[in-house]
This record gives sequence, structure tokens and C-alpha cells, in this order.
Amino acid sequence: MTIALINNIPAVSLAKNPIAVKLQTDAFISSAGTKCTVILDFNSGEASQSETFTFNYTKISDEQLFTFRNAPNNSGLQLPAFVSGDKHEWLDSIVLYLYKNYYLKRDWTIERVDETISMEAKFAGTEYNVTGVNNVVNMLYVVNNGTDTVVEDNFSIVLDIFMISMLFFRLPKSFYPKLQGISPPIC
Amino acid sequence: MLNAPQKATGVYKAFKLVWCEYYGDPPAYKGVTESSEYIAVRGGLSFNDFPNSNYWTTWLPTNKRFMTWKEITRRITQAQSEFLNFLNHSATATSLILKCKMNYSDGSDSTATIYTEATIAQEEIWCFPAGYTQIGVEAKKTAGKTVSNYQLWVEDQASNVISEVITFVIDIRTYENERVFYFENSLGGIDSLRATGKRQDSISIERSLTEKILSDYWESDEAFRQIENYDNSYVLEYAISSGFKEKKAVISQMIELLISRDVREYRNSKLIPVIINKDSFTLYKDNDDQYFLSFEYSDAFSNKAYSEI
Repeated sequence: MTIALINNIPAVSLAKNPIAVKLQTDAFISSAGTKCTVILDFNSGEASQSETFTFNYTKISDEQLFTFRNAPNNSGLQLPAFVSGDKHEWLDSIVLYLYKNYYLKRDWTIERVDETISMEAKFAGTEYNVTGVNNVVNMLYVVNNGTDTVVEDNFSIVLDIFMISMLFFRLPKSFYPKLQGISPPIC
Repeated sequence: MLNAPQKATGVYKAFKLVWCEYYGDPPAYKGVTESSEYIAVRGGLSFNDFPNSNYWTTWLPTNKRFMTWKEITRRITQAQSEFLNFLNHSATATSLILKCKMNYSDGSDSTATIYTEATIAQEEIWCFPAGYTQIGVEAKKTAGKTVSNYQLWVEDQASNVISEVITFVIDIRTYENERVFYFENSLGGIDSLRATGKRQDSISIERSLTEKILSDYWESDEAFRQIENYDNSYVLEYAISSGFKEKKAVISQMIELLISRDVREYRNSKLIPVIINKDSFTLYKDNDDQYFLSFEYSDAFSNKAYSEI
């Protein structure tokens, strides 16, 4: 989108009050970038006690080691292992436990899609690109890396105002002389 | 004083905007766009009235006010000049006709056309003289009758009334002290104040002195001065009361005088520029039944000499 005026400037405005000019453009960004996505695919089975996978991206310094446990704690690093019951309910509970992790809660949107857990970074950029080691036998660990937003160099917006008149704006030059120009005394 | 309508070109300006993006290495202008033409009037609304104001779009076309907040009924003398600035907000009006209805002391009335200005564009501001003598009420009235008040309004070429009606009541009382001030109001129009209270005149003198360095021995001499007064200048200063006004609103509207950038006192057939001096004023108190405003002002120039031409 090229730069555009997005507010209505009245045909007549008062100079002693602000005259707002709102301009909008997205030309500041030459490439919008993409968000990193991670799929934890459990189509081939479930996770068992003590299986692990790591989750690391450059925005955070600490590698997150997730361990499946039959009775996970609130550390944000333990996830429920499948014991019995409905697989979808189990995957939903994994989503809840993933959200107990501070960094994942802050930076990622997580949801279950059928028999997979889909994770998408909240913002575009390579700093969310995930590296990890998968030691879960029945889980496919699929990472689609994102790309950075690219902005234009030296970007600025120019707004010029042109007066369309040769007349003076200040009062003594153009205002009262008109009153004095024709001079029958009033008293 | 003005005795014919004039386009008030000094109080509004047309302007255009040009905008574009500027970027790259080296940076370059891109997407240059020019706006249509807008008008800026040298005026404004108060802090609380401005936000979400529909002054131009609804309020002014509905109320059809002249460019002033002054009362629509005003008490003036026959000699007093008055001015009405009118912004043509009508899209269809191509002529502005100032009409006058003269109401006589015997209860009868008559109406006359005072001015007709043709070829008027929308959003133009015109300054109409409105004083009794300025618009020639004496010549237009019915012979032998006395005008007790007259009403002015603006019509378009199809006789549609496109302004409010301002009533000027002729004040036949004589005041011992009467001074008229003209000032630019908040909407770029010209308002007046007829002050009928007492005024105190004073003078502020600025002296420029120099002190001589004396030798070790000096002789006493009648002409000898250790301190030399090499230059003096003076400014005349005044403290005045508006005189009693009947309405609280009249005092409120005097805020226009106190904040005006350009105030003139009509003195010896001239509009003398003056400066309002004080920063703080008492307007009125609760339960007041008469209103007046006291203020101080000085000439907007200093004098090096005194004269009496």
C-alpha cells in the first residue's frame, strides 16, 4: 500500500486548534517476515514416561528440556505421559502443561489440531526459529522456520504545507488597514 | 472606519498538503501526493469545546452565527462602529445581501437592503460594517421616525436567511466617560467594547543614565553633572472599568478582549494599538447583580517626546 491520507480534513479548519493529518503506509516494511511453526505429531502413537525432547530458540538463552511423566509437576518442563483413556484429552492436557512454561506462554500460540499439537510463534522473525532434539519415539517433531521482517533503509514520511496566497496572515498587515483605509470618523 | 463590505482575506488562508515517503540508500521521494485545497481560519475553539467539535459541519450551518461569540443583542451608540464577519458556509449562496430591519419608537418598522455582494464563493469570509452611521441607517429610515433598534442579517440571492439576526439597540444615554475598544476575537472577527467606567491614566518612564568617571580633582561648576540623563522614554498606562453591564455573559465574552492578540482603542479618529497588561482578572462572583470588568492597558509604543498637535 502506498502512503495515504486516512482522516478527513475539514474544508475549513481553525488555525488555533490542531489540524490533524493522519498518513498511513506499510512501505516501511519491504518484507513482512514469517512466523516459525512447530508441529508435535502424535499420529503414530503416544509418549511414555521419561521420554524427552528439547526446545530451543535464540530469543531465550536456556534450552527447554521437556520430559513426559506419569505425574507431571508444575515446573513447566514436565508433560503428562499417556497412561490410558482418550488420546485427544491427553493431547489437550499436554497443551495445558506446555502453557505452564513461562517462555512458551509468552512467545507461542499452542493448540491441538486432531492428533497433533501445533505451535506458532506470536511474532515473525528468525529469533523464534526452533532447534531441538527429539527423543520421543512416537512423536514427529516438524519445524518450519520463520523469516525476519525487513525494513527500508532511512525510512521517513515527508509532509509539506503550502499556503495558497500572497496575502499576509498577521493582522496588522492586512486586517486593520482595511478598517482604516476608509476613514470617516465614527465620533 | 470601514463603511463597505470587504472580503476578510487577512483572517483566512487556503492551503494544500503534499506528502510522500522518503527511503532507500540513497533515499528517494516516493508516492508524492497532493491534497485538495483547504482553508484555515485564524481562530480557534476553547480546549474543552474543540475535541469532537462539529463546529463547521453542523453547529455553524445550524446556528448561522457570525464569526463572534458576542451577544446577539447589543447596545451601541449611533456613532459607534461595529463589524460582523460572516463565513459563507452555504454551498448554494453566490450573493450575500445584508438586510436591515429598522424598528421605530412608535412600534412600526421598515426593512432595507444595505449591501449586496455578488460572486461569492463558499467558505469566503466577508466583513460587514454594522454601525448605525456606517451603514447609513439615518438615510434609509422612514423620515420623521426615530429608530430605537435595528436588526441585521444576511440573505442569499434567493432571499434565504443564511445568518443569525443581530439586534443593535441604540443607547441614547450619555456617559461622562466613554471609550470604545476594538479587538480580534477568537474566530478572527472584530468585536468591540464600549467602556463607560472611569479610567485612571498614569505614565511609566524609563530613564537612561550614565555616570561619569571623575578625575582625582574636580572643580565645582554649575553645569557639572556626575550623572548624565542621556535619554528618556515613556509609556502611557491606563486602568479602566468597563462600566456596569446588564448580563454576566457580556463579562464572560470580555475574555475575548483580554486574550486578544490585537486590541485597539478608538482615540482621536484613530485605532491606537494597546496592550492589555494584567495577567489575572476578576470576572464576577456568585450572586452579583451587576457586572463590570476592570483591566489595565498601555499604549503599544513608547514615546521619546511629548507634543500637543
